[in-house]
Amino acid sequence: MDNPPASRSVEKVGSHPLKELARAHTFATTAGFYRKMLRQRVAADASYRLSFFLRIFTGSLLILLDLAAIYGLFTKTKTIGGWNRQQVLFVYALATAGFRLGDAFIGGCTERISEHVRTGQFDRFLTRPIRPFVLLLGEEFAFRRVMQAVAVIGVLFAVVASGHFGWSPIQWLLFVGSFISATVISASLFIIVGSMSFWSPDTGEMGNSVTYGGNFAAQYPSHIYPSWIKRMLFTALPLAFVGYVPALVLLPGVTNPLSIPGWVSYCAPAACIPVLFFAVTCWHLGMRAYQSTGS
Amino acid sequence: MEQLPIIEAVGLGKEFVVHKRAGRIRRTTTKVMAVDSLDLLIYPGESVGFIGPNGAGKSTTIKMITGVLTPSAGTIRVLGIDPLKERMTLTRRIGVVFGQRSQLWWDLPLADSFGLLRHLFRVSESDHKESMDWLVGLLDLSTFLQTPVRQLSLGQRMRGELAAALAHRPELLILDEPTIGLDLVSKDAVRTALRQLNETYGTTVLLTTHDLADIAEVCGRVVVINHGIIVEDGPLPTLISRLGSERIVMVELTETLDPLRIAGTIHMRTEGRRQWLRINETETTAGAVIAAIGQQTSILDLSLSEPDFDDVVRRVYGATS
Repeated sequence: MDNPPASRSVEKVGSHPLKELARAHTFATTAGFYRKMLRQRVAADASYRLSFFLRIFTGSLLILLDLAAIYGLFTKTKTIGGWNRQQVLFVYALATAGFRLGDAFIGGCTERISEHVRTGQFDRFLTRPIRPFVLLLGEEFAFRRVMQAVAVIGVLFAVVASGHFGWSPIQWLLFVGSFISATVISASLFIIVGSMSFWSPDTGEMGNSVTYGGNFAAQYPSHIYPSWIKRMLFTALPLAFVGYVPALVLLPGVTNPLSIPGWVSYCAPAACIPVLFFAVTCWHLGMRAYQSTGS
Repeated sequence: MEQLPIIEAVGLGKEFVVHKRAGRIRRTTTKVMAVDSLDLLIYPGESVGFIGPNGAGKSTTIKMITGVLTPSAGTIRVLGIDPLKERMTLTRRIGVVFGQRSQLWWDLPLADSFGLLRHLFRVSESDHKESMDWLVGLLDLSTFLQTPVRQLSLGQRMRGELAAALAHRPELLILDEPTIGLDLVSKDAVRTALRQLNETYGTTVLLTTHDLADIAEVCGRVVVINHGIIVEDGPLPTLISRLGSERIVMVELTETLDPLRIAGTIHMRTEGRRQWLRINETETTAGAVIAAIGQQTSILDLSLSEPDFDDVVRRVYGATS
């Protein structure tokens, strides 16, 4: 103890000398770990059996209420902005299926960031040999939200099946692309809103108005809105591109009061690219802000 | 052989900006130096304890060492790695325990948590099994391995946390207040494990605590931090004799006497035939004092008090604030 620390030598005894056991993650092993986390989360959720089923039930109920609202509207009017019930349902389902999917796998997790930041628990994500984002998505996954996504995807299938639209392969491609784009935009918006918590943990309510409010606006033909909302849906919050714009060429014989050219409709899924890019930037800046302020 | 330091901090600083409300909307910002040009070298195999009052900068330092926080000044290298740039590489080679925050999964049994950690750290199954056998023995986990973490007692949970931090056999173990809130038995279990780990396997240990007994039993070296700077650094006995509480001798004499005058002591009080003397250990020893008393009078009974750790902590914090 009196020796200076530098000269203290340690003889390693015992059965296992210290050797580096941990290995770095590759993309495939990260994905594998994420899957394992999801399985654990579902099992843990299911261990509270009654509330598990109750939550799945109330989750699906939410989608039923959405549908009831649209059906209710159409008992008073034949068309909204010149679009009939089935056409509006298509826009609703196309925009919302992706939104709910993004909500299930990303949104439910990113909304927890604010609490982790407030309590300082986010430190934990930074002391693990995996990307903090992946760990967050794994740990906060909630199965009940997947049921909402499944319910809306079911509605989308039903609308497409009953419509007999007779799409060409290109139109099918646009349909799938729009669904993916809706998922990516929704995930990105959740990431952007969640990242704001790194600067101020109280941004949650404002964030909801962007994500859930945005989705609500995207459920109806965009031309029915006053010009400032329209402008927003085509620019800063480009949610017109996930349902309405592709629907213009996917639904036969719909009115197009904004005279959006066909090629724009076919390029609509690309709207997700800048949003995703912005989201990734926000996340990285947010992490850096956390690392320089702590808790 | 010249060893490279496992932790090397040079001029390390961390400045926080604190916002204060001033009026309805206006707010003033003040800058607080949580850590101020801290120089610290820790070598492989050392066991180092950080003490200092709340807000002294202990946790901030630990967070900079683990790459959780970005330093605002100076440089830090841990295992030769820049913790910020290669945070994920570093996490594979160190173990981290935050006493106030669980690293385990709340809903999962301890054994399942370890299983997930095995995948997280990508430890091979045979290595993991070997680690687990060792840790279950070291920390006596066998009775609650299958219990969900939320149902564990604090002492059990902390042993679980330690095992979780050690399963990938890190070279450096960093613990922020590992014994906080634990009962004496659990504290003892944690300390024994840490000491064994350090002595038997040469794992470098860095811990923060408010309990000097942790340091006395685990750490060969104590670093006192206050107001973001290192105010003391050395072996614990040196700190105790420098700052610390002197030992006190109580003697019961055969008769009631005037206060004894013994070189190197200060008379504290008299109660009948009993007298208390404070020993200044830089001038004399307890044995010499007792012998000197025996020459003046005859002693019926005596007791010698050991330095009181809480008193030392109070002096350390008081002397530096």
